[in-house]
Amino acid sequence: METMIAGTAAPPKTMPKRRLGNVVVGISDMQISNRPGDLLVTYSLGSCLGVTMYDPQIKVGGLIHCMLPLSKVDPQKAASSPFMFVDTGIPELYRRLLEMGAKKNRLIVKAAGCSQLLDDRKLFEIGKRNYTIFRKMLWKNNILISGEHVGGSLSRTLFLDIAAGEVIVRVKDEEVIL
Amino acid sequence: MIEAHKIVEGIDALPTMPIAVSRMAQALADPDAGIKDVVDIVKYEPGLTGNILKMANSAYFGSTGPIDSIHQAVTRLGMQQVFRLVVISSAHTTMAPSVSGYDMPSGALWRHSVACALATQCLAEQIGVGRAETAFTSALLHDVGKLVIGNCLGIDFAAIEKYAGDNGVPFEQAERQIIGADHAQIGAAILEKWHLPQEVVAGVRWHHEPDALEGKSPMVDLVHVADAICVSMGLGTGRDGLYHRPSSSARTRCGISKLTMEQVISRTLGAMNELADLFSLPKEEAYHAL
Repeated sequence: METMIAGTAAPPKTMPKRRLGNVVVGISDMQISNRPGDLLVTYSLGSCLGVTMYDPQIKVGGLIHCMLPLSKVDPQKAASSPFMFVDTGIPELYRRLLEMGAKKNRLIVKAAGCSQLLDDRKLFEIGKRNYTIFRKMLWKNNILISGEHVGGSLSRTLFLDIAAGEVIVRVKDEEVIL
Repeated sequence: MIEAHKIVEGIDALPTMPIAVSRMAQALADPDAGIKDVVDIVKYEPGLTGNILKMANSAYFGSTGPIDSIHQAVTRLGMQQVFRLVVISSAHTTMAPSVSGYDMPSGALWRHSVACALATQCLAEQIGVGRAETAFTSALLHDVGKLVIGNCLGIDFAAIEKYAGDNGVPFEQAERQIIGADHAQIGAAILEKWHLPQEVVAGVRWHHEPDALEGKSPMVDLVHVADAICVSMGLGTGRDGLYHRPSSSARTRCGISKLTMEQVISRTLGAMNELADLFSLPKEEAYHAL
């Protein structure tokens, strides 16, 4: 008979299928929550960037789904939909969480998405550029990324569980905890 | 390989596009055609007039004051705009069903099709291509072949997906390998059967391989780039994910800069949000949660 020894088993990487989020973050959208029952979710991350930020002490977190790297391509749109762009959306997510009482030194930042079409070297490379701008912003502000699931030619779904702070990425029917 | 007769049966089983679409395309190409011709085409399609007037009166189409007849719609919005409304209104029934092989529940293919048509129109406007109705129609119908092979019993989509993933090749190439034909070829056969204009058929046939078309075509290039944009942005993608190979030559031929592409992406999403109710576009979560 097999015995499980507490603390030695690796955490399960594959979770039950078809988790459902109750707070949906659309494309170019952002949601913040401190309600313990909330599961934030964003679907169809292709070349777009999905980011979660979470403060485990006060259990507040946010999820954003950015489409494009830089707001200068459409300043008017950036004014009405700042979450569409990485350079205007990420600071907004950070600012809103701090307003809710989160602290920079406790924030756990994770990312998913930034896929590429096959051999997408010359067409537009948006996934890669979204990721590069995001990394630069964090680096300049001295914030680390604790987990990520980026690149390739995958379509991803990203979840943030507010009660547990768990971040889950689903690709097809497989789920991975970041 | 799948037996050819199953594909033919699938094509025959599809609801035919209303004849109004091909008649409108002919009218647009005819310099002598006028408002009366458009009114005549539309009035014999049940429901079409009502749909067109509903769309024509929405803020998105810049209506100033109520439009209560097709005659008025053509006068105020122009024949090209009314043509787009006819095509959108006519294609919904055909393009809205689920496509199980591609993991696309009901409405998902429609959402992708409308996104692609709007992106094509937006690209054409940005680079100053006039009369891009052909590309708009092709874009709206570019994946019609998926409805046949995606709902054809006996096709092993897991094998297609595995072949694409293992070999790092586009999904349509894997379709040819496993089925013997791809959704673009099947789509073109469907549109020929429906007697749509050759330029519209070409846009569907070559939307993944614009460089393989002899003579090239700006309309095909536009559909290709618009499709690549929508797939990349996750606007209605299915099992094929991002397994498509974009042609940078198509972009260069059309003179589309990277900046233009990003502006088009931003505007297309804006248009999708504005038109969601009018065009019966499902929200992303409506089908992912299934």
